[in-house]
Amino acid sequence: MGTAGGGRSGTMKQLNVGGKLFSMEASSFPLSLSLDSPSPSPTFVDRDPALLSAVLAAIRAPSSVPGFPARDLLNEALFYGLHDQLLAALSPPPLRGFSASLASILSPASEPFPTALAPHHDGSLCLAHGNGQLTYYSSTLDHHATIRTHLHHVSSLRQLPPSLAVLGSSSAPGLHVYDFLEGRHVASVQWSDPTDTRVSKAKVVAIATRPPADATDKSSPILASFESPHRENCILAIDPVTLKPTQEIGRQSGSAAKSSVPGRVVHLQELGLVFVSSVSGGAFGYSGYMRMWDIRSGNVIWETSEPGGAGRSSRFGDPFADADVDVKQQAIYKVCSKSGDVAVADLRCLSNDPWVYMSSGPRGSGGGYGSVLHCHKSQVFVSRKDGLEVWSRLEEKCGGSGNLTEQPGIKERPKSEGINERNYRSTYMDTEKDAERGMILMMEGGGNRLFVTREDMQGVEVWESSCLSGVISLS
Amino acid sequence: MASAAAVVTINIGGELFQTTSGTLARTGASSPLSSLSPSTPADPHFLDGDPRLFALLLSFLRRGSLPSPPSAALLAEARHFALDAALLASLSPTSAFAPLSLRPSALLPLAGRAAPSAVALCPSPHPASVVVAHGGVVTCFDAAFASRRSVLTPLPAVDSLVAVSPDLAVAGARDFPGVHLCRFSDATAPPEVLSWPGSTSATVLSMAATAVSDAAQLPWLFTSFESARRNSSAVVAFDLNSLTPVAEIGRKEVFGADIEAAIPATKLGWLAGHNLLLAAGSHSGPAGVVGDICLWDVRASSTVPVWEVKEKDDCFADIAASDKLSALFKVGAASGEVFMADLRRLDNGGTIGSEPWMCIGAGQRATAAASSRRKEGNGCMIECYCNWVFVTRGSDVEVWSQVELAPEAGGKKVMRRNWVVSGPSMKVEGSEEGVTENTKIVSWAFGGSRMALARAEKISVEVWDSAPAAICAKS
Repeated sequence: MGTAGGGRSGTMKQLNVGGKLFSMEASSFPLSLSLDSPSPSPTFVDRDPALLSAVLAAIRAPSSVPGFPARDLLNEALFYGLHDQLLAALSPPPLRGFSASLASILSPASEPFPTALAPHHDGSLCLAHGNGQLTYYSSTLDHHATIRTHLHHVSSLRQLPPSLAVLGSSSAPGLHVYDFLEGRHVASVQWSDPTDTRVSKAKVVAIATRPPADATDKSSPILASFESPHRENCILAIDPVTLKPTQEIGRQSGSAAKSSVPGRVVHLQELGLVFVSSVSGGAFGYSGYMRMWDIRSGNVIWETSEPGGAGRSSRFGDPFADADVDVKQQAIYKVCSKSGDVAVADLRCLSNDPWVYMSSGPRGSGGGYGSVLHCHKSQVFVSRKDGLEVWSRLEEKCGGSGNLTEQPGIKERPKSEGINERNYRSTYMDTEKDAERGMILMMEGGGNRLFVTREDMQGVEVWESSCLSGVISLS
Repeated sequence: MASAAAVVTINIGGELFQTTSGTLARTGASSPLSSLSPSTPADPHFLDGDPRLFALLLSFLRRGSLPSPPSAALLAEARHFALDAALLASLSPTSAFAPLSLRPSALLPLAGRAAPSAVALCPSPHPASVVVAHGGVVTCFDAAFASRRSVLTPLPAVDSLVAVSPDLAVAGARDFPGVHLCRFSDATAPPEVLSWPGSTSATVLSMAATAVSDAAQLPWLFTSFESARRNSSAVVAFDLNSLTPVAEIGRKEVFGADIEAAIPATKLGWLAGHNLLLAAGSHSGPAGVVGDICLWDVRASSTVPVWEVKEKDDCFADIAASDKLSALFKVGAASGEVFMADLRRLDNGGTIGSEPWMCIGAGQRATAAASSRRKEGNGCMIECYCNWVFVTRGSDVEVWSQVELAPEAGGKKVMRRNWVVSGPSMKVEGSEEGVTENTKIVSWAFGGSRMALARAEKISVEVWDSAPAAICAKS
């Protein structure tokens, strides 16, 4: 039953697992057991040999389907010190939007209509659904726990690893922290101002926790936008350890569209900035603003509002429907509500009109009404009425830009140095059949997965790239 | 990892297995495996058996659980090694019960044409066997749903059913005398009947059993009897070990037409943690529904209850007592809302006359419905299991869970409502086989990590389990 490694016999380790002999190269087996002592007979371990062979098979051939539940394999791998290797083998390959497909649909057992999504960079998902329920799926998408919060509707949610969920509701005031593994209410944070008694019972609209790229930084604050009943709003920075508010940024009256509460908050930690965007859509179209605040000084660094602002006249009647920041590429992306165009602005050189409009590739019809835009893994996912498209960036050739500048017919040069709209390609990610399930309401990327919820659809779609061909046998 | 001295080698049907005596000791003293002494591969113990099945049993001994439900063949092999009780007990542990993760897991078909009238589940420490009464037949399914055994009772239809152990259930009917014992281990046993010594022709209204900690011991059985002429009633406690009546509690006699003064108990419940018996009865008369709820301390007095309340407005449609939550819960017959009465408040001076019930649903609606004498709660049932309260509404089940807020956020405990699975507003998309068309729930029971439902006009029993959620594959 031995599973032989190809090395010399000196580096071999032998293990007797429940009566079956396993031998393998010492380097491939970081066993926590004391195997180093040279003994004539192999070390005996009282475990199931079938599980160890399944673990080893899953590590060697990552894309094969294991014969045991992932949870059992991971428990077994924990004993042998192979947990990290197995987890890497079981997780999906890097997400490439142009080759991704629907992998599975996660549907919680009770009241499976999602209200908020909070994926994490390891591919795990915390899902709020139904009447104030939280369900946690581990990084292998195993159902872990479902808890009931005291809120009736969770409308914003973020994970705070290892086991906390930060959530807010559109129907009840305050920011609440739950431990989703123990099902315990840990703390709640309210926006209060001792000098202004009108500020009370403020509801949380959007939350940003530390960016997924650096999970090591434990002190990065939670940012949450609060809106009090008389529409006054601000962004509170909350210490993730003590769970007490530390700072108030960008307090606004909320009396106009330009000062209403932001619906998206992104923390640009390396730059020390907060990006917020607010969009309100109505019968007469969209209006909204984007703004960037310096966290330390609390000053506005840059802002733009549409319609209006100092945009190009040709784009005057085309305000954005959604906007997001790609933290890694340092670029802001927006999708226009009327034309459905996607535009990009470089964060390093923001000006009055920094937008570069991208025009290549196929584009869904119906403009940008109801579009959702999400940046993840240096790709931009844009939902349309009839599909989900992804904008990927081609790698730029070094020094090869001479050709491009000489090309005739370029009326306007890209305004920002780093961005060339020719490097973006858009492709459809879904099939027409996928789009028939309904309009996309929410999209969030986590790890190498994209989680998508649709209008009136039960459960959450999980999109992954796959190495498997998925061949259909015709015989 | 173990020292070589403790390694036991066993030869099962020609194949060698190695394990430790510590693992084999988990089988318990009655098993032939527990007494095996350490042996070498050269001199193994020989046991007759199927090596493939034994590998699964050994894996179960090491890990304490099985990867998939056991087959009938595996159960037979386990019985050979006196392991079947442990195997069945591991299938549906009470600790794994999570109402928000309940999913339909099995459909138990019944023989004949009679729809089930009562279901019961064996309480812990027994494995969660399902006992079903259909017509006059009582059928017991073992906890793995691999086998079933039926006995015939003299009753034409069974109204109340209590599962005492996987080998014994007791059945009673509203219109026929006596409590009938169903012993599944011996189908040809002579009929055994328990009856009220005061009136042997008395019929059975309701039954409840006390909790036992030791599986070898049988509990007490409380039975609410009403005499055939319907003029006297009492709750009688039987010791099921000796099959003798132990106590007669709360005997009531009706004189003349004053029926409301002596309403017989139609629902019994046992509060193990408080050593209290809940006995509640309701009577529907020309003046509406009136009820009488008593809590009895059996050791203290069999004539004066610890606490008693007469129900006039919004009398209970059904009532249940929760040990873990220390409270009584009822569904109002008029309002259909759920009410809660804290047992601790009743203890310190909660006297008759003061309103013990607190509405945990929509309070204003409840008051309005009660004053306009609607009958929203007609046919609703309520049951408490672990930390949760369950209510049936027609064909749907709702669950109430307790959420405790953090101390600095007030530390309050609130009850919150959810639907189990879908609820009436959501259509079940015909994927779950056999559950597509739901009819009214007739009887239900909880045990282990399971919920069993009997529906009107369905010749089968639905079993819902809160096992880890399966991921729906792409269709």
